[in-house]
Amino acid sequence: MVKYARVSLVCFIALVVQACIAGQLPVAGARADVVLLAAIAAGLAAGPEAGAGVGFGAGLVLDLMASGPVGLSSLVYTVIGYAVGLLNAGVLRSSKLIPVASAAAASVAGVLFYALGGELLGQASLQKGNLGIVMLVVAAVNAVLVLPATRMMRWAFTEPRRDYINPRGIW
Amino acid sequence: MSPSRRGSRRRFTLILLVLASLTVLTIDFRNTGPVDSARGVVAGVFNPVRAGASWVFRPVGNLWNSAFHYQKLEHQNQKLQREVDRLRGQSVQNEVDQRQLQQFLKLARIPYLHGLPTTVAQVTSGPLTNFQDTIEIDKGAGDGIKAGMAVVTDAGLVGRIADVHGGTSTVQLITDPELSLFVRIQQRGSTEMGPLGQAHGMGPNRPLRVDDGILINRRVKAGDPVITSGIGTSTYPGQIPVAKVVRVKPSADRTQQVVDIQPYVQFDRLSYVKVILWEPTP
Repeated sequence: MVKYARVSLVCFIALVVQACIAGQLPVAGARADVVLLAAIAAGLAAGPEAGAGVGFGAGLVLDLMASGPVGLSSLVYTVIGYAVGLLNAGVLRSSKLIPVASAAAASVAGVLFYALGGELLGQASLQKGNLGIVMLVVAAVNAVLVLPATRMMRWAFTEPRRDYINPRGIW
Repeated sequence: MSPSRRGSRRRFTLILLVLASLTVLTIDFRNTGPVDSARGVVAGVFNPVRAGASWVFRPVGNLWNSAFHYQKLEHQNQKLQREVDRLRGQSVQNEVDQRQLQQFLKLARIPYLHGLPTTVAQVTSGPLTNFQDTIEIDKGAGDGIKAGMAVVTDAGLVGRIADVHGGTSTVQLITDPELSLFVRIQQRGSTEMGPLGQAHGMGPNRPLRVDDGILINRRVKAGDPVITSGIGTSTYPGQIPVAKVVRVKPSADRTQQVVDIQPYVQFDRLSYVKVILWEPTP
């Protein structure tokens, strides 16, 4: 229960940061995608199911906040979160470069899939931004922030020990 | 749990979430009720947070934009100075033109913007993601705003109201490729009615394109002002300044002209806008 509350809190923070900070500070006309970062970090921290779950939930709320097609971000972020979790599970994590590289690659894939999905739905997404710059900015920002974000997600997905919460066992 | 069972549970979760997303997409595509209600709930939760954070972070955002656009600002400053000098010299001529324009409008019985009710709104946030051409404003249904109403600044047309919530609204910018509008390209210094064409956006920081309606024999040149047409079924009142012509070239079949027009409004520096409380007559 505490785990779900923590995950919801982290997702809420990611959405607020996206809406209030990342969305308002464009670099060369492109904006960071903190919600995609949350899905990637969840996949890295707690596996494919967690990545898919966070991608779906946070992506769906982002879609409802924004004016694009509802369900597209959740679809793309679900798949990206799952894929990152799955690939990361099969890799021996001896280097911090692996999550950084995974985040950059997954970000590029996420932006590309979103743009293609939008285009398929008649949203003219490929015309709405310079796709190359958007991919570059999102990948760079997510690569920089992935380690602290993964740490945050690891904290969120760790169920606290009962004896830690209530050492006397009295409820 | 054995690895094979864990693997199949993961795949089941993925398939479930993908199907859920596709279901939501379908419901939204069909434009049925539940998605709009959910949007309203999410807007109710997040908009106060966004408005508060926008107030806090606006100075940071301004500083950020200044840092990234310093050269552009300097260039713009020089350009504006030249423009001020030119306008000073032309002020007498403009008065004469203005009188002529008023007479022309009176004769043509075109609805004039000054007579329309407006409400001023503050821009609370820009686009949330990279594939949006929208802004949020702090006025909504309670202020008489309805979907489809035109949004302007003193410089010209900003866009149209796309969604209305209780106390906020979403404005679709004219740079959005999904938005098209009928415009009239006037000749500078002429009172003659200019040609009518259909313009659509080409994405943020790009000009709009008029690629339908301007026949090859019509005289259009760079610098000509572009205004909303105000024709019968138009969703915008007439005579709102939209843009100025920056490029003209013939269409592929050489029967029409393709005209690129640069909006007067600078969309990345919007703080306040006016919503025209006007709806087209059905």
